[in-house]
Amino acid sequence: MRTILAVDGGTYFHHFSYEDPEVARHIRRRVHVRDLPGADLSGVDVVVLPCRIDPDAMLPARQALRDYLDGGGTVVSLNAEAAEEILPGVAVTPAEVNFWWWLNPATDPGIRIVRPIHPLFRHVGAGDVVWHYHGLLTPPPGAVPLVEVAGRGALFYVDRVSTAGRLVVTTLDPLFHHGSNFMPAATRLLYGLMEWLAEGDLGDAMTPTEAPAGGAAPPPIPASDGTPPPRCCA
Amino acid sequence: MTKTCLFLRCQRDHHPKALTDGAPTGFVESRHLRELPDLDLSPHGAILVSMLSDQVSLAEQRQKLEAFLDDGGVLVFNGHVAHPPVAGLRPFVPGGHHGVDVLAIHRLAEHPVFDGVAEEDLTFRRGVAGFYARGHNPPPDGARVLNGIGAERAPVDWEWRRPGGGTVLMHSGLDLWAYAGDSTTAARMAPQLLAWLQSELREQH
Repeated sequence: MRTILAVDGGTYFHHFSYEDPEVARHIRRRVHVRDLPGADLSGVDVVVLPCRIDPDAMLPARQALRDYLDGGGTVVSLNAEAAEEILPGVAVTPAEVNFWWWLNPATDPGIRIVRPIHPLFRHVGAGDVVWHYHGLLTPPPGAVPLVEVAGRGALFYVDRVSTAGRLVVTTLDPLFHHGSNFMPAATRLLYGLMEWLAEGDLGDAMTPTEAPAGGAAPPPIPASDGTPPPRCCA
Repeated sequence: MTKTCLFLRCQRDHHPKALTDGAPTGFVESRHLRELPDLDLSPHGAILVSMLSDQVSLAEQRQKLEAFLDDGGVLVFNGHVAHPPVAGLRPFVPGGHHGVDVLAIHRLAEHPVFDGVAEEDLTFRRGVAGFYARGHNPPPDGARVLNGIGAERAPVDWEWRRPGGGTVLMHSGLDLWAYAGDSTTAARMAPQLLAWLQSELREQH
């Protein structure tokens, strides 16, 4: 089992999410964000950065995170806000949030799992990533998108190119919704994500460590057949 | 001079229009929560706490906040209590997840902030129940419960006139000012909150 350090922004939703036994069982250490720059990350396999955290509170930890990544560590960023100021290779375009898309059965938000054979999806179901989203990501060349909004950008990718480590980046915000006692799909995503990080195959076999020459498309991995995933709510 | 409200913002771009544009210029002063340890609270008669707050840092200022209340101040708290910022507040108790009966909001006492705000406009947003609250922050003895949730009328909103001075207005859910753009009577809460605070602060003065 990997050693996971969870960063805490002090919000109620970080607290209640991390306190949930289903999540807590995967977390070895919990560190308030202001203590992150001085935290000893040796022996830590995965650092989880929570959603809806003040980016200015994260900035002092930027170099420590970079050093950790360059040393081969894994950082998981769940934050859509100003993540590009904290982490290498990240480009976020804010998206207008549509909390109401699911009220109309005919609405398809266009969210697709683009690499369903990735081992993440042994832990996370297709419907668990389908809700509103707060930003669209442009993965750097060589990074592997796992969830996309058709024609618009990525919601979840893994990047082993930008650093010697592993960057898992998403703009889905499961801690906020789970910690607010709010949305079953967010709870399922959080539980599955933590289980994957703690004990799953991180999918290195299908994630290159070098960008393809000429900025070509990501490696040929079977994509889904385009069928919309199951629906959830909000 | 009448005192002003201190809004403790949680991010650099955290400027709810309902607060910044909803009151006379200067009535609501926005400062980042991280500045609180160094702030002189004497110009302020009310502190507005958002659901996005770093409650660990806030709770570290307990002495300062309790002194502010002892001095007659008003603390408006939104969100689920995880780390009680003042004595008397206790951690959030989750309610049930599903069903309109479980999530329905009921008016239990009148208050200027909720004047004319229909229960159904708090229970439902675009026909969906559950945005307003998902449980409650338990009130201390002596608090007046304003709105309850579910069949048990669990205390979502309450006003506590502290024996030692000052007032806590509690909302155990999404920021009250987040409803300012709604097309229902829920939009009345933000301006009515500011009007109530103006009246409270005049009395403090």
